[in-house]
Amino acid sequence: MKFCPKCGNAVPDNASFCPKCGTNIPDTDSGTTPAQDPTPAPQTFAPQQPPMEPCPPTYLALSIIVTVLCCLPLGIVGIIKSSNVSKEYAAGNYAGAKDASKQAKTWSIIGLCCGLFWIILYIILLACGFMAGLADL
Amino acid sequence: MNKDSYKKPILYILFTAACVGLVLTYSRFSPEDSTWFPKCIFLQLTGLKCPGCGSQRVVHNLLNLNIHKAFEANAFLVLCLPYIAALLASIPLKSRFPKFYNTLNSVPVIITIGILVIAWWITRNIFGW
Repeated sequence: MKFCPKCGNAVPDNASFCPKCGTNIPDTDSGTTPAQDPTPAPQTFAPQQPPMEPCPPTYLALSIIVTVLCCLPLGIVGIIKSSNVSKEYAAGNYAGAKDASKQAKTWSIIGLCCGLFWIILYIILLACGFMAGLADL
Repeated sequence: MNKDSYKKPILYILFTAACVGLVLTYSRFSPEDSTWFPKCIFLQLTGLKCPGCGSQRVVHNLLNLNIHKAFEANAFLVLCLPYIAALLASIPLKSRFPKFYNTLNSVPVIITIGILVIAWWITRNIFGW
């Protein structure tokens, strides 16, 4: 069973023209139905397509600053999450990049808060005279 | 006007005020002279320096235009400052120069920085830098 490429009418396999519209029917031996893709071939979105939107924020600067100044371990987690943002974005996975961006932000801010908490606690304890021994180091 | 529209300007003002306060504090006082400046926890617990040790002294010395002493406090940090400055600059410029932002944030660059930081961490404790 073949189909007319023009009107889609079913025609017998041995027919050389369509009885309905009269179009010449090429001899196809593959059995594919040309009428089934009258719609233009859909754009295949290969992962290497150029990025759709700008890269979600990586929070890399914040992660680095937190690592160096405030809280080393959590800052490093932040940096790793920031690199995941770039990695996912480069692979075309915008949703994954956005998710990694959220995580990078979360960890960096937690690290920042921990660091600031310690610094403020230190200053308060120092003001109360508790840090004498530690401060002599 | 809803409450949310107050948030961003207030945050910017607080942030700027904090920066100004920090600049004034660090330029006037040396972290070496006063115990008010918190010391690194890693140093206190292990006696070894972390990659960021000396960063407060770097800030103090750079604000007083003493580059030599800044290098003595934490040479790696001083060398990284251009990268950090570029990184911070790329954020508002992201829409106009996306490639610049993407390159600075790219995985190879991050991995390189990570390796350099770890190398510095180890080296400075071997040579006492």
